[in-house]
Amino acid sequence: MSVPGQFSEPKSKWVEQLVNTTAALCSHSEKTREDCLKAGYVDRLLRIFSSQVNIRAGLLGACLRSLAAILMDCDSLMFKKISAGLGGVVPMLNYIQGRRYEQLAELCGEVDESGTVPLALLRNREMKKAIGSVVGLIKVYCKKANEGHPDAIDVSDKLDVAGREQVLTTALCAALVVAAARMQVLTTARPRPSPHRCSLPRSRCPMTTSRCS
Amino acid sequence: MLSVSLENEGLSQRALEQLIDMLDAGSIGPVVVDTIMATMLPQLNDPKIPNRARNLLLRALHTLADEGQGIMEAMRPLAPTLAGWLSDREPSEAMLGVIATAFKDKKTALELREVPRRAIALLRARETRRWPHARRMQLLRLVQWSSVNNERAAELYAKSGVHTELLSEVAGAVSVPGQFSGTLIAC
Repeated sequence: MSVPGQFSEPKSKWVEQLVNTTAALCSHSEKTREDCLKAGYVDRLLRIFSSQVNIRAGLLGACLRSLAAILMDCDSLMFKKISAGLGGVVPMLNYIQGRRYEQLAELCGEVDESGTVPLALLRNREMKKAIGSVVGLIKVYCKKANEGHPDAIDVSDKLDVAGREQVLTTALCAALVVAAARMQVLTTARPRPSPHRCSLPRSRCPMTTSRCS
Repeated sequence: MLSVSLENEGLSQRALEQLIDMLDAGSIGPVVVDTIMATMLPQLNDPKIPNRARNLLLRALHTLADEGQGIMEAMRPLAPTLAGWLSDREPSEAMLGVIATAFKDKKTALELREVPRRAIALLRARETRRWPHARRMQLLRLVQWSSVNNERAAELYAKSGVHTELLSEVAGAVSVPGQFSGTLIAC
């Protein structure tokens, strides 16, 4: 049952599908996109995002993908509106590393006896996609900042101060661990390497962190 | 494969899970795809297949196709049959789900060119509004993937103003917190 501040799972799935379909229609027709923006599509997306105490992974991913697509090609006013609606974007890093990640993991059942499952060991596809969409959103701000967009530069600077590089590096390392483990399973059918260590040789790991073997 | 048609004791679910594992298993993946399609296609194309059996096979195909690109591509010969099913007065959730998944493949999406018109008609039909949300969701998936992989379909949806109806549904869902209680438990 849905309560204020939290959609039930079926309702969340339904709204997610509505958002995904609307986003698909917008991305392939300029007229549809303009119509939707005029009709308050962004307000609705931001309202969905901000109204949920614990947003579910699928819905989070759908909203962020849709917002990222709009950010890629919108005017300055809309850009500012979305950035403000996302709390200045900095809190989004929490979905990769922090309290929001833990909440998301709990909702997705990614919890074991030692607590929430680390990024490299996630199995829930929806959660992985949601985190991917957070990274995608941050990428849009980085890209726009590199193009000299003043609002994006402002957001990007704040992300930088909040430790964007460190958070994204952690995510990348986790993805590399998963990819390396998968390659190992496919090629040699050996058991997966220890989850807490990067399985790449230190000389070949692009991150070269203390976790590399 | 035979066990896919057995619903009792969760056997069908377990068989499906095993098939999904085998689809992922590198070198034997193509053999699994060939075997699945050689078993399923003749049955699905058979006009005399009972509805219940067909829906069961369709649900299995939907799950398998969502998991692997191979199955999705192997569904191409099924395109005319899929288009025919959507002409049914009341296409089932399983049918809509498989057609939506078929649209994820670009080549199949181009073959199913008549489907978007029917999808628009279904979206607007009064009866469709009374469908359970799980079934309606498959219709929306169909609209989503057909607009992604078929440019003409996207134009058609834009002209028909499908987005306006969707936006009002989004607004409704956000503004009415209790809207889903009861209805969706049944889905």
